[in-house]
Amino acid sequence: MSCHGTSTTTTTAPAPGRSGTGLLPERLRVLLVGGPNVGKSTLFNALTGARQHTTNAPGTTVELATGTWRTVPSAAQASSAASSADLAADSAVERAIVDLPGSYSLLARSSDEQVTADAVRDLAHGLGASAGHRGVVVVVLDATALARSLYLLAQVGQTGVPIVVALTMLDLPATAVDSPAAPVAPGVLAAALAVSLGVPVVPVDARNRVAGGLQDLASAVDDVAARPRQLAGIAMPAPSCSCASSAVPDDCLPDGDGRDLARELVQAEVLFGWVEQVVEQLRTRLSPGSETGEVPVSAGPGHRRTFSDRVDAVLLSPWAGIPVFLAVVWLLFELTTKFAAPLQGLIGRLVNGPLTMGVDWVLALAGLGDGWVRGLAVDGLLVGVGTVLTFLPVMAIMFAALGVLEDSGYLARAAFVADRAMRSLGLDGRVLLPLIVGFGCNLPALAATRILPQARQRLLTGLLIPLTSCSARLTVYVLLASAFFPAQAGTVIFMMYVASVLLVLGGGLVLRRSAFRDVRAEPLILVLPPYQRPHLRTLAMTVRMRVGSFVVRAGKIIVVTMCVVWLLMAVPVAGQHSLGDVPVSDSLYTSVASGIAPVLAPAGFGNDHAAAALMTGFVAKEVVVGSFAQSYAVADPGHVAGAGDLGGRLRESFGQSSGGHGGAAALAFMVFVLAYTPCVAALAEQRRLFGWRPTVSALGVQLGVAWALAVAVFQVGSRL
Amino acid sequence: MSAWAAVLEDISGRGGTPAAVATRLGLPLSMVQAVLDHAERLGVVAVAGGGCASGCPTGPEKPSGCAGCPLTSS
Repeated sequence: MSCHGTSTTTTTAPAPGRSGTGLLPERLRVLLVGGPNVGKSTLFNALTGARQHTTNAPGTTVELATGTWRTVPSAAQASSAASSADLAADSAVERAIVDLPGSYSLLARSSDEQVTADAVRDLAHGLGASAGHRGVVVVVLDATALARSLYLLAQVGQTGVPIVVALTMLDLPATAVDSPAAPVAPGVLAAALAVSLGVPVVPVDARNRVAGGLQDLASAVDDVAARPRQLAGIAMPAPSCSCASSAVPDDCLPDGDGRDLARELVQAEVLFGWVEQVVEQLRTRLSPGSETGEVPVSAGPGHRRTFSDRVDAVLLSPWAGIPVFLAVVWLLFELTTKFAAPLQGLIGRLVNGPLTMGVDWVLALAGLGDGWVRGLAVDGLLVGVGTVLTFLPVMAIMFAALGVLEDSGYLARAAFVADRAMRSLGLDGRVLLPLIVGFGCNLPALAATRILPQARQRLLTGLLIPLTSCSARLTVYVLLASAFFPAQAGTVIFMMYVASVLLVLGGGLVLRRSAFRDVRAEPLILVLPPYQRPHLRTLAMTVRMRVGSFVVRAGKIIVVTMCVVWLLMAVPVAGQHSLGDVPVSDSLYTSVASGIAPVLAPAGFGNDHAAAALMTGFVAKEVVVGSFAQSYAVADPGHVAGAGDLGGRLRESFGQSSGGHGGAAALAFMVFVLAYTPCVAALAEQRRLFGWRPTVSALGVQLGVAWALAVAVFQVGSRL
Repeated sequence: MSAWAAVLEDISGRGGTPAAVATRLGLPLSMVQAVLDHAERLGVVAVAGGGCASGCPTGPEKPSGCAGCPLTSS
């Protein structure tokens, strides 16, 4: 029987595998291995009672519970014991037992799982290296999810360690969905499993210390320790391993490092082939008419089509999926612009009214009401920052809507549908994930290219990411679409995103068929989550954090850039003016912008304001709107630059530079903003990831493509 | 066709949740989950979900999409 509750307890547990006295032979080392929540720790507590302590796994911060598993052998066992040393003075048998962290697989992807995989590997090495080593792995199988547990068992079996199986969760209601044998009596299932596996299988209920199978488990462990048994029918790792000298060399074990994918895929076939075989044998043995005559075994089907399944039947179909996706995105932008417009007006009025008057009043009190300080503070910083603040409602609504789509599980469906489209063009499906991130911000998207296995694939994706329309560009679209196409602002913004997708696809297609012919396309296999209702409180918190982050990040860039822009406007290059007292037409700012403007004339926005805004847009796209506002404000200080006023001024100047085709020029400007360099930070990240040469080449190509597209849009648009 | 190959072929061709794949193929859900988990560990499958709107993902390894995100540290 198991010994907890007895008065004779050992409170200090020696390290696993070490003799407590140094004179006795090594105690049997037992490792408890199993998935999370299979009852492994409950079993460990039942086996060790108070004789346990926790320690960190060597070289890690992962906690391990170790202890002494002490039992009094039955009379029969005592008489048949191979060595009297197996028995302590009080005839009890002690084993060192380790409760390893829960793990679904020995192919570790966390430090916890790595500790488990290493412990099994070390035991296998120890058993292979020395005949004096004794150890057994008790693999805890969840009877309600047998297939998944069998997969882990197969991996443990491949290491060649002696195995005993403990079968848990037998008291749970039969869940035919999860188990091929759920309705079967525990003893019958264990017996059938034991025949299939070739190792002892003990049904256990750790909460029942008397009749829970703990003594049977102890007997089975001792028996396997004396006469090691391994899993039946499991093929050892691929023959490419040179296993001659050592029982289990490192490269034969699923340790996750330096893996050869082709070999791993073959291994996977072997593993799951074995699992399937065991499940099939169970079905056969436990089906009606078999020797047991027990209740028929569920084959696992019988799953009912869920709500997710029914919706997916439509949304994942290529014919309905893409139109639905486009409709959802269009609705998103339409709602965003419609709901945000009144709030934008309110913020604009607050900034340009009371806030500006307040700053003026403070400056007047300080005696700075008429100097260059007032120009910098009011016409520079306040106008720029205030204009960007008006876009907070847009960003908040957009983040909330995207959050709902994402949390509901819909965005994953959209990614799946889009993956099909990409594959049909010969592009690698896995580039999709970084590209999706790029629609939020290009910077993390560039960092996300690390998920791609090949360097050339990463470079190809890194060159396409700047073509994804980041949220900073949205502020420019909203400003221009609202100013030039107020009735169809949502549709225009939607078309900009469609244009972004087309640019990515077109760019990818061209690159794949020219400089990147060597890149191999591999499909993205995406496992979809079930649909669910978004958690509103969490959603609100995330939106608040994202908007806050946008304000802080954009705010810093805007303040610095606006100061530089103001300085450029304060430096005279013509006439007899002093620093800070110069008409904008005679400033360095206008001089530089005027040099660029003629190049932009074929696109319809060859005016100083647009040229200067694009120039500052190199720093970040959030600055473009502020730059517009500032340059109009400084050029005409007497005119209050409200949100509505800014639209009017844009219409005026774009109308003049385009010969009366302001709408076409505005569209061309938006296309230019979409296609040219996203920001300095993205350039720096590209250089860090790919080096100077691809970055500079991409910069040149982006500018050229942006100009060509903008000219094409304007030339076509102005003729319609 | 083995369960391994069947699950991967089905999910890449028709998509869906693990439960949907299990229904279509008549396999135990835990078998499908084990196949997909192993394939994810090998890097041939990506599991969607865990969206940012539900808060930052927890666990020892964050998705690569979190790289550079200003929210990940919070």
